[in-house]
Amino acid sequence: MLSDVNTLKWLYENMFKSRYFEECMEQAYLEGKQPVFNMANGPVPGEMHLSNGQEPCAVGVCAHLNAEDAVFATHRPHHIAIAKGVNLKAMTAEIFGKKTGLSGGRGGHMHLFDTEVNFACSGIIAEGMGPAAGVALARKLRNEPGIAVAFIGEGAVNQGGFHETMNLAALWKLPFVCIIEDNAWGISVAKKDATAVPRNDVRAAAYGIPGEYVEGNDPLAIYDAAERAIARARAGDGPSLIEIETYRLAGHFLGDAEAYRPEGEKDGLFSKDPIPTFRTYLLDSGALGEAALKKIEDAMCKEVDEAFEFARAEPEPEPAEALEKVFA
Amino acid sequence: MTTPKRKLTIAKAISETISQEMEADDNVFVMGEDIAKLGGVFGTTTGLLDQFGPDRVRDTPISETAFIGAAVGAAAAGMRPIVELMFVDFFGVCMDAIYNLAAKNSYFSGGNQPIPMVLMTSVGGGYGDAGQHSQCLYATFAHLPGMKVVVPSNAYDAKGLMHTAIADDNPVIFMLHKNLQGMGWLGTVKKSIVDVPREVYGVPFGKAAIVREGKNITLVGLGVTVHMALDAADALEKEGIDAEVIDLRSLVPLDRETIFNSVSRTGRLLVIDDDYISYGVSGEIISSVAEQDSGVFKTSPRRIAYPDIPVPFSRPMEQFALPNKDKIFDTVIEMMKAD
Amino acid sequence: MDIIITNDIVEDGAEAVIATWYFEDGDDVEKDAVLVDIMIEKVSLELTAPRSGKLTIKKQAEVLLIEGDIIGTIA
Repeated sequence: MLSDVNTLKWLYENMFKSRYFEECMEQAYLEGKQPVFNMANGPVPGEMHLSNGQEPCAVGVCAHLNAEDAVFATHRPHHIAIAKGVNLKAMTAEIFGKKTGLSGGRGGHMHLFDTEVNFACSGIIAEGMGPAAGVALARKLRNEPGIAVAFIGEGAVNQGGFHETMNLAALWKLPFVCIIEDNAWGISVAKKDATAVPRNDVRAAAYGIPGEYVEGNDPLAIYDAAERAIARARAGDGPSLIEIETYRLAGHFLGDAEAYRPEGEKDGLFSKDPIPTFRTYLLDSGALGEAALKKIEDAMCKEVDEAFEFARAEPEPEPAEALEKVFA
Repeated sequence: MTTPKRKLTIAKAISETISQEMEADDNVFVMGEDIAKLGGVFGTTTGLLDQFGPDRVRDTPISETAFIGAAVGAAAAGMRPIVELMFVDFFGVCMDAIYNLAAKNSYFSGGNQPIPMVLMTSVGGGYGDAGQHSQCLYATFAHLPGMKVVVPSNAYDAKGLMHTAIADDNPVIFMLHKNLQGMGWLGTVKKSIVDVPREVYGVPFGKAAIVREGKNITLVGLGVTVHMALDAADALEKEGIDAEVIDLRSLVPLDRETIFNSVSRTGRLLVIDDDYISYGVSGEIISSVAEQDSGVFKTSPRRIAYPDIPVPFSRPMEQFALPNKDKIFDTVIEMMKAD
Repeated sequence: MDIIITNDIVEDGAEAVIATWYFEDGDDVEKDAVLVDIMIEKVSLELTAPRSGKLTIKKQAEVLLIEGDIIGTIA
């Protein structure tokens, strides 16, 4: 069980930062979209998929990663981007569609690319699997340090691309890890109504690789499982599959009325919110005291607030910039 | 007292038609992602689960290749499936089942095994959903042989075209523009919400509609661009320019005759398409007229279409790329001056 | 006959707003025709015509509604 205070601190910092970021993002997103919710309006148009509740998955895995390790995430990327060390100001500016965003405003919230820390995300389910395996292949061919991690949702295992990539990674013994964030819902469809088996770690057997299921949305348990998988990859022993039980505290996308969720389910989840849970653990175990925690929280709020201020203040791109960067 | 009207959004017209067809024929069933309890992310299947139950209204896993391939098989076995591909941009993961299976089955079987299936899908952007959730891809589907392709611009046509689609023994790609659906979370072009008869009726494929008659220029559009053209035509009228607006409605089969006849009368052609410009619908319309008789043109035909770029996220860039009524207005003014 | 925003539409101070009128002011409507889409928080609710007749619209789209508001009448 992880006891190193610096790591525990890092885990909490990034979970807290991530959550505060999502709370600020929710507010910014809803600006201009009232009283009638029209997705096109406001400073952050389009869809918005927030990661509230899923922070442990991001920090438990990314705690073991360096800049040269590649991470591919999904349409719900913010917590993973933050844990991977994506430039927060440029990321926020990108989500606001600004000229100094990561992609100059071309990508937006589902298409965040930070080549400095090898982070990318995309909007098609399971799409990140293939590229992650490809980076792993490149690292192996060039004998470079660095592995690749693909984050997907539990719904994505039912896409052909998941199966193909897992087989390929196992066959070629690639330094690759697949992390499944099981938040139990694929938009309005519950996992049990979409997937023929209750847990996806069993699928690892199909590829002759280790598979683990981590219960309880616990950052420390995730940290342990990820440590094993990532060490395996770094040692050249091939890929692993980890499915993590996590919770989606917000809707699939902001604006989602979530009428399909059984009554009381969300209230039950809020009581298991992983951030206050972990905070209590840190206090009770003596790892961090109240004053230290408050200092962290203030610092994280300040960092996020500054990122949002930056994003709001930055200029929008010139309209004709739309035509640039199609080709290198 | 005038006959009471009954205005529906396209989403409601679609779910109403599917309900009527499912009542009439047990072989009709629906499957797709989030189409059962949620009624579809774009409201196309609202109420169907309650009415018909989970056997005939099926939520699927995120497995387009499997369930669209399954639709082909079910259709081959005599059923009439309606499948939803949530966003047309997702076609990449399952295109084989569509263009190699559904579209070619009748041909490969010498006509012995037709595929009576409808693939409905939502298209279009303009609201910041970025490059993988905003595309139109009309040309991608229209270009490949073996599929019929329709694009309604209003609820009346949507209901009638859907009836025709379900009755058709061939695969039909039914493309619904998100700006016209009537969703609670996205703006809707008001003029797409029109009076829709309660009874069952069909709108034929392969017949474009002249939605505004005019003498000076032919504006050809589909889906949302029809409404842009109509708005531009209103503005042009004040300048003394009388624009004819054609709503294609059907890409495959394409009503080349109506378009040609119109341009023969007006002598000017402007096509407005929110799909990518190169190798697409706009080029097809123009060459269809030109190859029949290029002498009909008083001035060079023109087109306003999406540039050959991925759809950008940021609002100023996205709005720059999209066709709009002002671009149409300005282009028509130019065309009227040139001769 | 009035089309009223009753307490069971706007419970406990929830925000309600007309998203779309399906008819124009002055249109003839049938009893039970869907007249208007109301958004309450993020949920959409349709109101139908309580009787047939000529519709007069009193509240336009995108205006915030409170309990007791009369959004239209049918005469």
